[in-house]
Amino acid sequence: MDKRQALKILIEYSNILAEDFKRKLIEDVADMSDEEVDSFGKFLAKELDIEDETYENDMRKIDEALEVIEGQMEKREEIEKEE
Amino acid sequence: MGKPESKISPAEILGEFESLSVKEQEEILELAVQGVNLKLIYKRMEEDPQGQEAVNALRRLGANTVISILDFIPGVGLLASGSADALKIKWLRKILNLGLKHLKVQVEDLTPDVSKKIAYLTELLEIPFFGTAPTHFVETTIQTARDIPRLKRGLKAYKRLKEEERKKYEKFGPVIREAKNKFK
Repeated sequence: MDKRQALKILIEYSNILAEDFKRKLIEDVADMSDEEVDSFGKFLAKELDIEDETYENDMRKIDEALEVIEGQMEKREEIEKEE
Repeated sequence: MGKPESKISPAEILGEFESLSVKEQEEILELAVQGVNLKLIYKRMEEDPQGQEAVNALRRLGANTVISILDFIPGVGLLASGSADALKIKWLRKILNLGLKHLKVQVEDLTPDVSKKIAYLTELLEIPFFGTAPTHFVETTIQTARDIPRLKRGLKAYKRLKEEERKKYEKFGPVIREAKNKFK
């Protein structure tokens, strides 16, 4: 895989670029200079790294929020039972 | 033949991005990623029955919290909590929604699990307090207690939808990783 092919893949899997814009960019990869390919590739690689981190953080926050809600529901059930 | 006029230059798109510090670049990208993901998941949540139920519960919670806060302000509070109680009347909601149709806005009962009896009786408490009693707090508390299981189901739906989205991405994980490594 060369850098231009790699850039096309990163464009395809980027979440922050709009679909029509992605298509246009993929068409333009062949005309880009090596420097442009490199800077764009670094930008999108960073985006995808952040996607990974964000996913992990979000999942952890969801689990924490679920724990809080479940705790609240258990407390309420106990109170209702006592009543 | 020259280059097409509509050609998008990466230099133009990246603009001043590269002149920013690494930390600033990461902060901007993080915001963009979170914004796009939130929009995508919100759209999918609205399509999912449990997700939609939770989104509605969250909207209610937000609106009821604002009304409960406003209810501490004499006069304004009476108007806000009175309006919320008026929305419990089905025919009134129908008329309002007909009028708001062109704005693509819909009004809903903000406390569907609170009976009209409780809603109107609490409003009667305003009389001895000359409209200054923060009565909407009672309805907000009852409604929130009923909405907690919906929020729990919604959060589980949110998690499931995120995992589904992730699976689509991970299917091509090795190729994406290889592509990323070319620029590191």
